[in-house]
Amino acid sequence: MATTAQVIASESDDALMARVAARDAGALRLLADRHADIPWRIAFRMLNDAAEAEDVAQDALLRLWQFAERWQAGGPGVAAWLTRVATNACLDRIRRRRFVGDDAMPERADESPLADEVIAQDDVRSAVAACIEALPDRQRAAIVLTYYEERQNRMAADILAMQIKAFESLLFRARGTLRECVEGKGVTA
Amino acid sequence: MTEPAFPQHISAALDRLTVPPVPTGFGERLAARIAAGDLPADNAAITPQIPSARRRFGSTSWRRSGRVVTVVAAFGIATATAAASGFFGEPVYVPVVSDALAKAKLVELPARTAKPAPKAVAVSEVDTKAAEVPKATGREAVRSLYDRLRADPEYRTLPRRERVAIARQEIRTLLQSGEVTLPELRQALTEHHTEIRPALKQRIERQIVRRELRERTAGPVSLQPRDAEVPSALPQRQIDPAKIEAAREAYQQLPADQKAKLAELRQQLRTAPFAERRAIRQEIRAILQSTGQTTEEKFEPANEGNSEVVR
Repeated sequence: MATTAQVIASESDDALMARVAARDAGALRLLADRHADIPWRIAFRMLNDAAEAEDVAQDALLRLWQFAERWQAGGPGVAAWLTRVATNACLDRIRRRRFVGDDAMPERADESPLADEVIAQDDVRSAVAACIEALPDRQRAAIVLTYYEERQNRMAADILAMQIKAFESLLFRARGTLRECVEGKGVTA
Repeated sequence: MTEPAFPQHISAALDRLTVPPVPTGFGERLAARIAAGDLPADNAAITPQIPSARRRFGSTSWRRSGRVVTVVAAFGIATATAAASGFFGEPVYVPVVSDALAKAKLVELPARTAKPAPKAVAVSEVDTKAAEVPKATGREAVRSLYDRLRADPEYRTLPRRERVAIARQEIRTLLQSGEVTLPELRQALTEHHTEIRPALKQRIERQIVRRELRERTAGPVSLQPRDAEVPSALPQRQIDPAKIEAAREAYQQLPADQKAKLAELRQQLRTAPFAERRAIRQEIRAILQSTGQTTEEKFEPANEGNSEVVR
């Protein structure tokens, strides 16, 4: 006989969203267990900052909580929605950085497990991270969505609210820039 | 197979950018923020529309094109309806729209406007002049139209193609307005052509004279033109009305069988070969002389075949 935890775990996202709409924090926690890694990954690669990445991931899930009442079952799903929200939030933060500057950003301790040590130990990894961070915001999002998140071009274009042709052009430029940068940092065939 | 996004060494380097797992205590911190009401500020740029279960038809570009076409079509229909209902002044006949409005008894059906002529200036000036003279109908209308056009100096300076186009347009307008019927138009055009081409008229007259000369000689007919022999002007026949009246009386005095015989002979005279015509003519003369009247005047070769003169 299935336990209560097993029954909850087997619930669909739409059913959990119905419970979230009824202000069931446990259902949101369950959704976070299932999907929190999506906004976390996107934010971590786009922002190259663990603390900010966690903020973005939490904000994305809290927005899901806020908008749960308007959720319609049978749509693209929670994962697609979180992808879009996390990407938009990252772009928003990158743009704000330009005007505010890093010094004005709130200080927060990096709680990720040995993140700095890992980056310091791996030159190639740090080179790639630096190159991605050096890309313009939309190019960065295009690389993260298509290469790391393996989204189709059409879907990534939709997330960035771009025409598919414009997105493909953007992606082409992003790939070229990234390749030059990575090779420029000593990564050769 | 699609080309890979990056060369292998670049892909290998990019794959080194791994992401650590979600930090421990993420769920607890999330629950704490919910409990504390620490929710992010509403930002439409970040939060997308809640996904709809209903998928919209077509891609974005097609939807946009559809919207543009719809807007243009709606604007066109609105403009046409406004023009047909007289919003811009005088109601204009717009196919379908005007009919629909007239059917709905919203406006009266305006007269269909003809297509504009190539030279609007010339037409308008002609029209202005036409308004000054009283309106004629039938053949007179066509004749007056041609007179007006020919009197217009600007019209005369136009190339022939444009003059023809303007004349056609004017004639079409006359037909549409009912001032001229088609048979009247044809007749007027025939008269007009013979009038405006004196060469044609002269040729017809020359042919008549040549035919008379041929019959007088009664010899073998040459098919070669003999313009040198043709007099420049057709001699005018002098017919005494008193003689015509006398001939008519003589004819009426004939008995019925003689009249029938006379009619038959006249008919034969029209179709008989030249060689037989003399005999037929003599026979007719004999019948008419039996009434005691002279008929030589009436059977001059010039009158041959022209029964109107005899009667």
